[in-house]
Amino acid sequence: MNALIDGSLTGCLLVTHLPVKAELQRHPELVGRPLIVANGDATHPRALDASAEATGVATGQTVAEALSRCRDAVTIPVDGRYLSEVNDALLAALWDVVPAVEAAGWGLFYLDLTGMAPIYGGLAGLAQALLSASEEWLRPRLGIGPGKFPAYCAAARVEAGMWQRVPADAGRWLAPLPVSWLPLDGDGVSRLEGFGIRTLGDVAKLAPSSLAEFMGIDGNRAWRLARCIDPEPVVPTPLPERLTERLEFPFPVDTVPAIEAGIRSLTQRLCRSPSLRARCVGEGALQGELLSGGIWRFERGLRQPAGSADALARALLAGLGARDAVGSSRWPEAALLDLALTVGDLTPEAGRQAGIWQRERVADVGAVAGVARPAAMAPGSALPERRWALGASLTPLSLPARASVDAARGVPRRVRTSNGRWRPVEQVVDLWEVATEWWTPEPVNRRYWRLALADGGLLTVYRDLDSGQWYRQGY
Amino acid sequence: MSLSKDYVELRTHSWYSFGAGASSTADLVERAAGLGYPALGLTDYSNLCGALEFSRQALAAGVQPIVGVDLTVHEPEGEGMVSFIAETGEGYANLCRLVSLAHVTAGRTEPSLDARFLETHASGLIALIGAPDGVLARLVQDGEWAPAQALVERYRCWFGGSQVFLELQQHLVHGDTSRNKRLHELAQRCRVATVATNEVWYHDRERARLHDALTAVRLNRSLSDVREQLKVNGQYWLKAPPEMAALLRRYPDALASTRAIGERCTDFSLPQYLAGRYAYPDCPVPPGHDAHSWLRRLCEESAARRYGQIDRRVRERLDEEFDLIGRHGLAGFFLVYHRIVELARECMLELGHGHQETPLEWLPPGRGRGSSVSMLVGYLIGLSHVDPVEYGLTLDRFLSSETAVLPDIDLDFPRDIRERLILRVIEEWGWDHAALAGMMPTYKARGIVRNLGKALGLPADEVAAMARGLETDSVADLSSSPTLLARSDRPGWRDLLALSQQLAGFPKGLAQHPGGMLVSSTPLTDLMPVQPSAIDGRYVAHWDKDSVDDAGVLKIDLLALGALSQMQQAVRLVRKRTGQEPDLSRIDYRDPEVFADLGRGDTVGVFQVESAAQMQTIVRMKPRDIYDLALEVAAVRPGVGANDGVAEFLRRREGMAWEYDHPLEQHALERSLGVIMFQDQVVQLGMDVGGFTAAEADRMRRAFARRKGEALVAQYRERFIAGAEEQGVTQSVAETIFGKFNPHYMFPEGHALAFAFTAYQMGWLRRYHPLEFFVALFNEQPMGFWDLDTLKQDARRLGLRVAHPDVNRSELLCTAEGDDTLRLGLTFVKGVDHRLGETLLRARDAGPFADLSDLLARSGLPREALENLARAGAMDGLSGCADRRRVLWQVGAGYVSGVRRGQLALALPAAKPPAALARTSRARRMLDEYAMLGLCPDGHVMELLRPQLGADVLTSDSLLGRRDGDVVRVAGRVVRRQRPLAAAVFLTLEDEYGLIPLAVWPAQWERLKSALRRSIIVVEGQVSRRDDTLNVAVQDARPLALNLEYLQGRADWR
Repeated sequence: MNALIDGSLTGCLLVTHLPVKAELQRHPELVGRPLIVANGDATHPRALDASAEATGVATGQTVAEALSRCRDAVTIPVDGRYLSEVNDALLAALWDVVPAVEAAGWGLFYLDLTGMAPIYGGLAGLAQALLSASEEWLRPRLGIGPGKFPAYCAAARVEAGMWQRVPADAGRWLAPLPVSWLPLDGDGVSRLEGFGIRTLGDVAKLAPSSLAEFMGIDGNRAWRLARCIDPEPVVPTPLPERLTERLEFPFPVDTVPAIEAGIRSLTQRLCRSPSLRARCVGEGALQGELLSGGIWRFERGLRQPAGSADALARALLAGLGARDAVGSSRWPEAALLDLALTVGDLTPEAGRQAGIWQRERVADVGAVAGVARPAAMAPGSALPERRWALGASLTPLSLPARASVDAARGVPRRVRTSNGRWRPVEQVVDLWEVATEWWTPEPVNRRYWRLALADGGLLTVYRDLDSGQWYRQGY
Repeated sequence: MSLSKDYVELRTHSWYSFGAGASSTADLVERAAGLGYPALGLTDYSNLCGALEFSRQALAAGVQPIVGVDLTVHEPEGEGMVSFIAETGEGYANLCRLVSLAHVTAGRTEPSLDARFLETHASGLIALIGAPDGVLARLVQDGEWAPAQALVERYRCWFGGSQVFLELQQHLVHGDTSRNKRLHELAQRCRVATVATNEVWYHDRERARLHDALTAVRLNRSLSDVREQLKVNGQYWLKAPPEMAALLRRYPDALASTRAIGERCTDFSLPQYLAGRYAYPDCPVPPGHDAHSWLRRLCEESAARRYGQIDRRVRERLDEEFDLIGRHGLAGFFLVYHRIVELARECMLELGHGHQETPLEWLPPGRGRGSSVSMLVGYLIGLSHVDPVEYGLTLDRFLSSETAVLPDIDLDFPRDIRERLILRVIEEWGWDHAALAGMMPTYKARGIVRNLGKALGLPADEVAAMARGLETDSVADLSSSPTLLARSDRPGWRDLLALSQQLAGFPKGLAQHPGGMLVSSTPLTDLMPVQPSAIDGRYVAHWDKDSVDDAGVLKIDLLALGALSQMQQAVRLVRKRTGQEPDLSRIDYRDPEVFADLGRGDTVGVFQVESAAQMQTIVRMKPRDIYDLALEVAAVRPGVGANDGVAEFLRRREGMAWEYDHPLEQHALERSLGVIMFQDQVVQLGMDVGGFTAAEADRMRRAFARRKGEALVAQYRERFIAGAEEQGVTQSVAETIFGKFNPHYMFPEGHALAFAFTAYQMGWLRRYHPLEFFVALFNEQPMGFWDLDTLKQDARRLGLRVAHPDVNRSELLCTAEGDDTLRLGLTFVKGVDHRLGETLLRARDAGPFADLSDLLARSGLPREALENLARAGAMDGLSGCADRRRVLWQVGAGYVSGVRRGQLALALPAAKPPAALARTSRARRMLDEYAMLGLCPDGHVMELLRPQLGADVLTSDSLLGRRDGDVVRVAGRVVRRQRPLAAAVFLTLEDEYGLIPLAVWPAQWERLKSALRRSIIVVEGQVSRRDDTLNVAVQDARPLALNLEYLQGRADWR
């Protein structure tokens, strides 16, 4: 294909189903299973995206409705931060190929390709470079055309991993596409169809002022797009900035004062950086390698953007000092070998409104997902492990553990503890039953015993009346 | 006595605890009796709907009924549940008043009682406090001892120490044990007793899931959404006394209290309490008269006006009736009705109908129905419009010498009069003395699928499709539904199938009876609770017609009859057009032209004889007078059809030889050729053959109609046969005659006559004033049978023109234009309601709309309404608006321009539509009209489809020439599907020339039903001719697709 010598050229890189692809990338165990990524508020979550296996599920359905159609689907609340990271990474990769990239939505990027083809040895080379810039698992599509709308149409019509360019007679190429491809709301589309105007070709045939008179500005724009007239430029989206400082401790550190000192050192180093001059920090993330193995991580979005090293350190330390919702400490549970501080959501001092908006958005997402904060799932549930869950993974808290119970005619006589010893039961303090969830794939049918043990301890165990298995309940 | 036998369950909830109780009162009583309970308490939530039914069932089962109620009580410390039990009659009256107050003061949907009312209504009541949903339980669980003690002291003060019990429950719910311990301690501290209950929500543990599902249905959410409102386990069934004793063995005193309370309530029996307590209101009479003499005076004055002079027959009939009235003390009863009719007349005059100077009996505001029509007194005081003397109607079905209950009088009114009258009656006697009877609509198959489907979280579209696809509303059919059975192994659907069988027949809630008013001189609230209805100003009692009947309370049925509204409007329209108002009471009731129309089955829109089945019957019967018409009206009833009575009657009428099964049948069945057509005849046969008294025979008749009345019917059967044998009738003949009785509905003879008069009057209007007949018929929709398109087709066949709505000519409703044009009203256009229609009319007051720009500028209507008017053809008459698609474009453009410039109030030039815009095809116009109006004023959908069909597909008019046995093909729109008691399904097709009756036998229905359920079909079948009737017995069918592209591609072929 020949490179375009004159005129502007626009690309559209489209990654369909980005939320699902991103989740499957970090949860490979879910590949092949029906998956729903949900957003919306906690009481009315809706399907944002769904995998191909989730038959019957459509974007915009309530999760309840989606699950009614696909009962064995796994539902994951959207992790906005993670999704932004994936999108931002793709944005950064595209910035490395072309000089102007506009992020128009999750997985949707417009690219200014004017004059770029010769640099890559032609349009095919350029297209290949763009497709290769993204991770293979994203399976992007690329469309190239004389404007954003035709480029989008080309991208949407090409197979994943491939590219196509809108032919020279772009109007004819667009003509058979249905009017629903135009950026009109559903009412506008159905009204056009009511007049027998069903394709972009039908729209293009109308007199120039007709649609404008009928639908106002939207109609005018639709008419122009149908005739492949799209002068809207690519508006570059700047890359989100993140700055990181790291230090290695000379010896494993396991005391609060030592870690505090490390944090203060890192905040001062960061704030001395020219990149942070006259700017505020909206979020910070600490990460360190644990002596016992594994990674400790703590993230905080700041209520007020921090404009100084002191303010940033204070905010991080205040967050670390607070207990989480289940009363656990946020400090690392083992000695740290190193410590890194990454700051983001950088705003000019005068630009706090932007920062606030972002935090609100994060908070909204957090209401469903959270990052690691507990979310109320069913506060009134008869089952304590269903009352609260850790947001991101929706892991229930207070999960019961298998137990060995010696019972006579169903009444516990002794219970074996973790060290393998049997503890005799002195008295049954209370007895209750939970029988519910019969309409779900996981019905609950349990008899609980509150036991006074001979050694003075109190213990709650229950027997699953369906399986006969005993469990110990942590309350 | 062992401890376990000391337990009496005081708190059960039946299905009248709507959306929670998962067992009927009968189930609860049966299980209690089976478990050996000596007594059982019913404490439904916020109502006493089941109290009388429960009491009667319990007494019949040898279980002492204890009547109580659960009420949400608003205490200073918060809101929570308290149970009250009636220990005495005074306590029961207080219970009714408290429940009424909870509804009247706090609202219909969330009844809640302010605790201050307890102080004045505590007498005779026992209060149980401390249940988990109560304020006291919350206080003791939170360790708030002082407020808890104060609350108990308050109840002690109001009710007395011996009347207050702290309630202990053990459902094996986390917290029960500690709460019981604390309540027991509190009771000792406050010197009150404790009592054990199990707060039963279902009689059997198997119903626990249904209780959960009902909770979700009540909250209109899925089970997963209402987890917090569900019980945590299924321990709320009616347990055996030993089980309860074991669960609460630590509290023997609480167990003993249950028996003690039961014994204290022994003296109160609701049926006994009600006996003789009801009295209907006294109506004032002039000095020198008592009720009897005043009623007689009113009747004689009216008779003089009616008959000119009172002849011997009238005199004897009046004497007979007044003898019965005197014997039963019913003069006051009739005066109450007379007063109601006077109130109705006031309403009628206020609404602009009738004339002040016309005597009541000449222009009654309504007309009687039912067996009361047989009373001459009723005819004379304006309760009925049928002269029972002229038609020889007997009194036994309505009133006999030994009748013990109040007779039943139903009155029909035009809708507007009836609406006003109900409020007027409540104003006249006050809401605590006059209220509508209650009614409990029950769950049927489609509702069950929809409700349980949602509760179980099943896909909404699949649930809706399944509900729509059910052939009948019978739950028995649901269990054999192929679509449900195909899913029965899928989670959720399996539960739906199981629960649906349990839910069938459950009452959904308390609704108001269609018109049954209770009027009482004793406050109704001493007898039953009363609550505000969903309609402002109306009040509804907690008892349905059966309980009201059992309590001996007078129910006056004030019913709305659309046909009377239509008649009233048609008469007014005739007066408006001709200047003369036809007096329908004095028209010729033997007009051969009218009977000719009826005999041809030319009866679309004619009250009572317009259904497909009635059309088929009437052409065979060819009525010649009013009594024939009464037989026709009565014939097409389930009770007549159940034993093939209609066909048998028609065969006999057409000359087939027949004999009575026994000569004793002759008196009862002579007028209907030996076939039972009327309720009166069942009563008469009971008397003549079974040797019953009139009252006994009527009770036998009623037993058939009672829910779960099989045992009672069996008793009557034995007595009937024994009585017949005493009269020389053999057992086998007696069994044959008794076998003719059935539980299905049929009309009383007087009722059939009353309806026959109305049917004749409608037929007369249709014959001589068709324009006004159809205008009124359109305006009074829904009338329950044919849709607007079918009515329009019939109007066109009668030579009328149905004109599109017109923004410059239409009023809100349909109007008559000239002598032959029915102009559709603005509100017949989808999306144009009364308010928008009036907006348009107000704008038009300044002058007609000159053109589209003028309309856009002045009408003030939203875009959607304007577009709908355009699509309905309401702008066709405006200058330059010949093509609707172009008009729609201009409306859209004008709307955008106006909004953008904020100039909707100014005249805008209508935008010129693009030249490329194709003209509106006739197909599109017609489809738009169907969508916007529900009819196509000047065409029929089959006109569009006919060119797609081969020449072998006949039209309805060409079908008339076909002979019996011919195989034909016909096509049309399905306008009616019916499945009466007979197994066959009857469909009515409509094409552009008329109606085609189809009969589908069961095997064909099973094979073809997916096609036959579609809206437009082609069928092949065999012509079946019998006398003047014609049917096509369907052998094959296929749906006919409306191929719009095909239609649009064709030239306008008209």
